[in-house]
Amino acid sequence: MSLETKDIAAAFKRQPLLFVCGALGLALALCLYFRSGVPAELETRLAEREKELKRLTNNVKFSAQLNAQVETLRRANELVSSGALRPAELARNQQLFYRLEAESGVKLADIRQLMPPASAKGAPAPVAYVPVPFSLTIMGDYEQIIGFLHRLDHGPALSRVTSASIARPEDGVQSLSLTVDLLGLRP
Amino acid sequence: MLSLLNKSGGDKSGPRVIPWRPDFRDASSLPDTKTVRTHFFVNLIAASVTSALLIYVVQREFGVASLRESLADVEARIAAATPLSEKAQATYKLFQAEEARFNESFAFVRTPFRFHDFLLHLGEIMPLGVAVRRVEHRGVDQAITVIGAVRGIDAAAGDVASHFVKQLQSDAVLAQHFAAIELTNLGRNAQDASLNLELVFTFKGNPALKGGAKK
Repeated sequence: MSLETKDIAAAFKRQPLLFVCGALGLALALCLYFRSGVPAELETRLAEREKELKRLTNNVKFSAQLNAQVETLRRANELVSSGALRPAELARNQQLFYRLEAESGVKLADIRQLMPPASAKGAPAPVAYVPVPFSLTIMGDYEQIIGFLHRLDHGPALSRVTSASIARPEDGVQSLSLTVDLLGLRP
Repeated sequence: MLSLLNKSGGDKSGPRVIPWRPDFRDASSLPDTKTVRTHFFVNLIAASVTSALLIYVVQREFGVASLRESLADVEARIAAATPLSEKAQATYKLFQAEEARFNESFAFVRTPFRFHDFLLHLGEIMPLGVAVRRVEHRGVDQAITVIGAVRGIDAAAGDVASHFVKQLQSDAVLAQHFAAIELTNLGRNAQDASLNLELVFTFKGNPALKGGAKK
């Protein structure tokens, strides 16, 4: 009962189409079996690459105005930095107030640069700037003092008044005690 | 009928013998006498199944080839977009650095309150007969105390003081910065013949405030 080559050859001669179909079917089934994961793998890879392409395309699309925006910010920062003080240059920093004194007509009775305050806990660390606090006392009439404060606010260095006390003694001359932070460059 | 007759008189207990005869036919050598031969059906079914399988495999391989083509197209577009994207990313890093610097300087002067504007506005709305003697600004998260005086010590002076406080409390410009404006002290000064008043302007950012702004 053993199957011999001549038996197979004889069977092939009797049913050639069946044999060809069987062999082809077997080959196709093997092909399907071994390549079953290929389409899914390709689809996954294509989806990933399309996602990557979309990310890159969005990067390019959203950066259309970026150069102009960077340039605008750079100019604004240069303007701010050019007016910012250097905390270590005490004498030079006070020149700003002497100039304001001359322009507004007030009398600068006292001026001191204070130690910068410790940054609050949890606050983000400064990148480029630090506040440079000053304590000053000025004397003058109402208009002169308002003029001094206005010039300080619109001066080259950004400033914020942290505390102030203005009083009118009996002689009619106003006295303003002021604590003000000026924007300084981080050393 | 004969069998029935035979059964009644036959021996029931004896062994039953199946009649047989030898089949000497060689089925493989005999001609297929059916109208449509069996081989035809077998071949037809085999050819149909194989054809269906072949069509399925070919279609699947076309799909794979199409996917490969799409993938190659996407890869080519990625290769073209990558340098532009890298340039955009580098520019964005520059933007972030500049933005951080700008935000820091902006945060420094973010508070819209200006002390000299406050003094000017106070001078503009102050009624006749009221004078400010002292203004103390303790920071934008605290309060401003205004110490002033109203000329006269009669009931009319009290009315002027009361009207001035109401005017301050209903002022739209001051309402932008202050959560509360309160008269905290009103006293007669016989020496000057005036009413001394003390007003406290509490900033909106004052942490002592609870439950929102109040007037």
